[in-house]
Amino acid sequence: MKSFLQKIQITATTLTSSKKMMLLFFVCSLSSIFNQIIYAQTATASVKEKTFLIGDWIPVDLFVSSTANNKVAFPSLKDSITETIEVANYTPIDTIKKSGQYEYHQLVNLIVFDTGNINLPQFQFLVDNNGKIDTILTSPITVRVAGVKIDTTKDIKDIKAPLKIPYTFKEILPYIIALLILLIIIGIIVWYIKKRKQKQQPIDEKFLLPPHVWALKELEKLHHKKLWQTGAVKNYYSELTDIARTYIELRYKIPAMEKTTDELMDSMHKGMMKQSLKKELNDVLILSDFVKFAKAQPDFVENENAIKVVQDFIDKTKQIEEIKKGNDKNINIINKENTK
Amino acid sequence: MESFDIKALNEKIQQDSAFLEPLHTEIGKSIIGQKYMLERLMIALLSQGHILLEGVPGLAKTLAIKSLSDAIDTKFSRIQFTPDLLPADILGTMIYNQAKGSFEVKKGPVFSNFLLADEINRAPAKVQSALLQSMQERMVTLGDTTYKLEEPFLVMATMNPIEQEGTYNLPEAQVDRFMLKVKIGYPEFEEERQIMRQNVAGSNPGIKPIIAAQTILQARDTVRQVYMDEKIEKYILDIIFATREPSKYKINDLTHLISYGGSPRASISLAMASKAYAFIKRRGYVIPEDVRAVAHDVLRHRIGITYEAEAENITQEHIIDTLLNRVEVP
Repeated sequence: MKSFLQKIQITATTLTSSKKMMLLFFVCSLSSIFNQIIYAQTATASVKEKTFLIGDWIPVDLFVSSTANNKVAFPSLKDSITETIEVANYTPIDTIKKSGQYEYHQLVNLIVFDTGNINLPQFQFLVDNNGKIDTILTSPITVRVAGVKIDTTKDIKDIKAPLKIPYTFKEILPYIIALLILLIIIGIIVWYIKKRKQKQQPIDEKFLLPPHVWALKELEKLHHKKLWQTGAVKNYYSELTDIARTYIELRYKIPAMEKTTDELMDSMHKGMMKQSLKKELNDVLILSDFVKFAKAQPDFVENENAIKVVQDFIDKTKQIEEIKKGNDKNINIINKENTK
Repeated sequence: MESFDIKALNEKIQQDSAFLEPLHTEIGKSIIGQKYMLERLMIALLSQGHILLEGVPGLAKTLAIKSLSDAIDTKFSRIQFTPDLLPADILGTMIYNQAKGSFEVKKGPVFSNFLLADEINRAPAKVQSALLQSMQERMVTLGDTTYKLEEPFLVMATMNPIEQEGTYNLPEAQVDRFMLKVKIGYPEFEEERQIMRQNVAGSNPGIKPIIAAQTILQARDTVRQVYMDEKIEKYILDIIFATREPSKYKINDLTHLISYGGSPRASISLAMASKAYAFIKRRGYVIPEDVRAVAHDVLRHRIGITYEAEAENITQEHIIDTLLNRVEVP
């Protein structure tokens, strides 16, 4: 192509001056067209619409066409271009190869915070043309940005609060883990303190054994102490009534230790036990009150009978847990005593 | 079973308390119902205490003490407390006798056996103090001479729980001098029917003196002899100490509700009232039931409640009930 043009220029030297001028114009125009064909690099910025609302995204399509040998550098976009024009986002550069040419596309969304006719800035591209850096500018674009219409007849409303974005599980997960760890630590501390306390204060046997087992055991101990035989009658009746009251407290869940004899008898209503049993126990408790509070001195028959009455009461009102053979989970609690 | 001391004491009590039945019968001629109030009056009389009655007007408070006084053949006085009352109006004063040219003693209404101090909270503190001092010391000083008050001496003061305007509340230290504070309520339906009929008919059976004052004094001596076992003593002290330090008795839920507990006078009063109650029940010994029977009347004016308790509508009655249900009975 170059040798063809040189031949035309040599031929021109043989023509007249006016014809020379016309030929020169023709040659220059042709040279310019061929130059564009040889080094075809174009850049455009376009918008599909020309009118937008303030704050709307303005999609600007950046397009560059270049030969395959040339490298094209797109403008580096920051958050904002001017004070009133911001870059909302932009797509990656899309490259298409078409018959030896490369076409580059990028969609840039701009936001304009101003109203009126706004001139969007020119975008500058750099092209590496075999070591020579060319700068290509796009044509300026003018868009019309309209403000939001305000209805002055309506009240002014407060600015809306920012939208709350729901927490995702991923965000909450660290807190859940921290809480679980804290709970585990607290649990371990509580367990440790309880265990330590249990070691320090041994549990009273009466809470470990069934009420009747504990009470009968205590009565046996009282019998072997031989208190009334050695003159300690008051102590004998005090201990005897304490055992009877504690048994009633554990067996029937009545606060017997905090009740007087009359109150205790009133609490043990019909259906709990045989009335004859209750009367016998009442007689022993009244006798005990006489001994404890009125210096009464019962004879040995009454002393021996008192412990037997309490033993009999416990034996006939005891609660037995029967574990069925072969099935430990089935526990039947039965009252040995017939309440009718 | 035998117990020589108690047996002898029981027999003595049977003799010395024999006046109770005819006394109740005689008083019952004019007072219908109000058995609880009459029983508490007897407890105070037999244990050398005084009684503070709280109840609305018209519940026969005045009639009760007047009838008791008439039946025992003793002198009765009534003072209506007003804001302008002076100590001299109660105790008496020295009056100049122009003819003799010297001062003479004019004894006040406190010189009687039964004194009704009606609406005691209507008089200012100096008047209340004058009466309460004579109640405690059982003597009055006029001029240079100190006069001992005649025994039996029982003061029954009344307070109206409804009206509070223009009243002077008794300070805690003063109210502590009353052995019992009794709250009285309205009579039962049938009792009120009889009261209405009796008053409409205009029949007013006069109360005759059937007991000498000496009988009461002798009964008081016997009441002091009523046997109180050390277990009962401990029980009384446990109750009083639990009002002071509930947490020591594992009654932690009361700690923030009690501002102050019973004084040593509360222990003495509870012991004496329990003995008197046992005497009225014709027993020569005190049992836990006796202590519990009088505990409310002895303690209700001796336990201070906190603002928290007031805010939660918790009364002294609730606190006493809780204490009695939680302190171990011997």
